[in-house]
Amino acid sequence: MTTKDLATKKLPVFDLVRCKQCGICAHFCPKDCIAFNDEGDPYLARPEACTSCRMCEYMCPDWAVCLEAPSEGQPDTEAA
Amino acid sequence: MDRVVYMDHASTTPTDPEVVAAMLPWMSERFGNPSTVYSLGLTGAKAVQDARESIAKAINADPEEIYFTSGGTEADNWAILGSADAHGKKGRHLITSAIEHHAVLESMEYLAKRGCEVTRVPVDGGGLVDPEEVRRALRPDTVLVSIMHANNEIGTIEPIAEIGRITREAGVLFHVDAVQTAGKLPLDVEELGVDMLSISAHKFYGPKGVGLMYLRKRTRITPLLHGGGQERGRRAGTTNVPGIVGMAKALELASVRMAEDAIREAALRDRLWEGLSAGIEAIHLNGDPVRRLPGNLSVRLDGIEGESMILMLDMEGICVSSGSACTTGSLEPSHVLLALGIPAEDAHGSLRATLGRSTTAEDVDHFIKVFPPIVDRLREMSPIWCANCVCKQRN
Repeated sequence: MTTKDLATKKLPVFDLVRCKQCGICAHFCPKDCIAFNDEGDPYLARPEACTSCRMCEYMCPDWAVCLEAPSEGQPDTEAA
Repeated sequence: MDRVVYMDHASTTPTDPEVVAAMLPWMSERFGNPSTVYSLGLTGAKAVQDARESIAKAINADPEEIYFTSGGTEADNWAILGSADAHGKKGRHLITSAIEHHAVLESMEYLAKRGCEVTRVPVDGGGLVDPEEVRRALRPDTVLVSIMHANNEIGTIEPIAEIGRITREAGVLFHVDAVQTAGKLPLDVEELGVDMLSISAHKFYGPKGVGLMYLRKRTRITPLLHGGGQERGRRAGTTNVPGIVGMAKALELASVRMAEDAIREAALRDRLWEGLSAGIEAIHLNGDPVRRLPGNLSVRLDGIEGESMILMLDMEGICVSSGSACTTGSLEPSHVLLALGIPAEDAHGSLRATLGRSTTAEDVDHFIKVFPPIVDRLREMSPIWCANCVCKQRN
């Protein structure tokens, strides 16, 4: 995956206000891309492995995950 | 194994005992018609309003946007026929997908015979609709887009929120058949960007014979049922108080359990697929391998026919379906599998197991144990299975 691919690919963006840290996003990620920081907040630990399948978006009970291209929003690719 | 192993939850589900308990008083001592003005009827009206509020909260709607129907089929028919009728002056073009439930496709077909033009957007090999295909299909005379949230046969989950953004931009009504996802996936009509949504209670441990349509405020559609003015004059018919109370209770319970049920069923589904694919050759997954409902496993097996698999599994106490339950008994291959590009001969060899709350690891292991000998027996008899030549080469 090139830098250009990462720059255009839609990646999960987490709304930490809505997130209740249930972990279901990570559970259903087929590529184990999502991890949790010390506060329990999710972040995208492996953006290069993300296939934009949207399972995190579909399964989040609080609508706290949305896939966006980097130009639309900043994906959380680092632990807070 | 003596008990029945029920793995056809996409067809219907048993009514939860808590739901039955909630319904019973409304079938016995509180049986009044809620359209009457005496207290025996008014208590029913209050119960229906409470149910309406509870359901609205579950899907982030306003209570006045919830209209109770006899089920998902009626809601689908109403959304499609009602939209076409109300917006006929704008145009007579509708868009749907190639893999919709028959309630949607037959409604569309009914309109096509009456001069409407229907575009069925194709799906990919996993059953996914490309939102850009929907965008490309839109025309100035398009009055409705109808795409299901998840397919009943193969479980593939569609990118509804993305499609909703496209239809909103275009100013076209968007209907979603959420019959297979209500109670299983989070539903939020604002997040999904839908104008109409169909739900059916018996798919999420509620009673049969009741469902609802979510209809966004200020959306014009023509009523389907005319008569006594119930549902604010938009859907006539004596209000099914016990059914509605039961549906609200079922959705409340399903919402609480949703994440836990999804994780559990997905694990059992994966266990079932791993066991079957390890023990049987020439077995293939139907639908998207990732974007699918947690409890849905749809497979096809080379060289044998679906109905015979179902009957032999039934003899082992296992209930599954071939294609959709609605079309069991039909000799036609599934239109869903054909739309994925699967040849008709192979489409006949499909089987769908949909797991639910009662499914245990023991049930799954029983299936994994008894199915391979059934497959072997059927393939021995099959005129189109050759263990040593073509079928093996294809794999």
